[in-house]
Amino acid sequence: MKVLKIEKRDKTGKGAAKSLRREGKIPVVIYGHGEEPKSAVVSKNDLKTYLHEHKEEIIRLGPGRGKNVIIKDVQYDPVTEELIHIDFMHIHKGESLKASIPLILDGTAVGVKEGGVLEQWVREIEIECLPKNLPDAIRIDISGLKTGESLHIEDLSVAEDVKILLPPDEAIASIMAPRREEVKVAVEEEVEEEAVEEEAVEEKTEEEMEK
Amino acid sequence: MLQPSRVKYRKQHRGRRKGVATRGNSLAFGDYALKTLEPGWITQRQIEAARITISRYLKRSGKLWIRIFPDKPVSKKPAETRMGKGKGSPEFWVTVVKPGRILFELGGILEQEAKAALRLGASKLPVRTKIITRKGGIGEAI
Repeated sequence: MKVLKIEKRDKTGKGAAKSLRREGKIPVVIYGHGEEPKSAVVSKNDLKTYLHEHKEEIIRLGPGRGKNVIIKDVQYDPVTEELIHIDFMHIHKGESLKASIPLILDGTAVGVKEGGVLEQWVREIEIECLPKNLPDAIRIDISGLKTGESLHIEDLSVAEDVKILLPPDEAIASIMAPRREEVKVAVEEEVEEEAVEEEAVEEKTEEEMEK
Repeated sequence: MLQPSRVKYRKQHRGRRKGVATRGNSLAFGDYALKTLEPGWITQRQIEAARITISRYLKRSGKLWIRIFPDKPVSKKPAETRMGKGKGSPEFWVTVVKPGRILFELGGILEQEAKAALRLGASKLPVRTKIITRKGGIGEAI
């Protein structure tokens, strides 16, 4: 397995992180397994090529032979949507880990073909398993789903060693009937009444001034 | 039009609009969204105009989420009034938006249709916007 090179980062904080990003690097933090969190930096280009070559959830982070990690959290710039920070978490062979795995809905539902709208309530599934059993994604076929029907967590099929940490009755996707245009009626409130009263007072004072 | 049903205080200060949106800045419900690139005040009328434009274009297909709510009252003095004599009365409601804030979300329709609808809706708003789509993961972000 190829190793993604990281460098140790001494300077932390907003200014230091900004100057690193200007150089084409991404500040990262590595934690887990009861160890002290370590600040590091990874080259944006290296990360890009690494992620294109490796589609697995587990990443090998170096220097040297490196350690196995998973991406725990990613931060994006709210305006430019560029990557600004990554959290890596150490994983150990015999130790189970908790991770969020993308949920992918396969196929086109019968309800959608009839004009319904597919609503996906859950997009990531939190699971607990050993690193070797970590799936890249959980897939479910929705082609049989009719209008008004829902899929729940209990409908998902995963390997025996993988434990889903969400309640089994939680809905993950539904086919809703197409809705009619709603006519929203603005609720007139007490504020309006008070405003009228205040205007009346203002008019009165103006009259007094003219006198 | 959207407005609060009851408020604790009728009038507010104008406030400042420094910085970027730290909340409400990512896709939560749909697959496509309209994101603001500028700070500004969006009035209840502008939100309603954009909503009507988008939902008319969609012709009842898909689903629209409005991610902003006008909860800030704006007061105005009557015309031809001398200065002073206190703050004016509340006239309309606005939402304060900062760059990165998601305004509308769309789901359950094709990308092409969603983009066309959001583009029409964006023309009713007083801020520069961009249309975003749901990303596949970290690999697509860099």
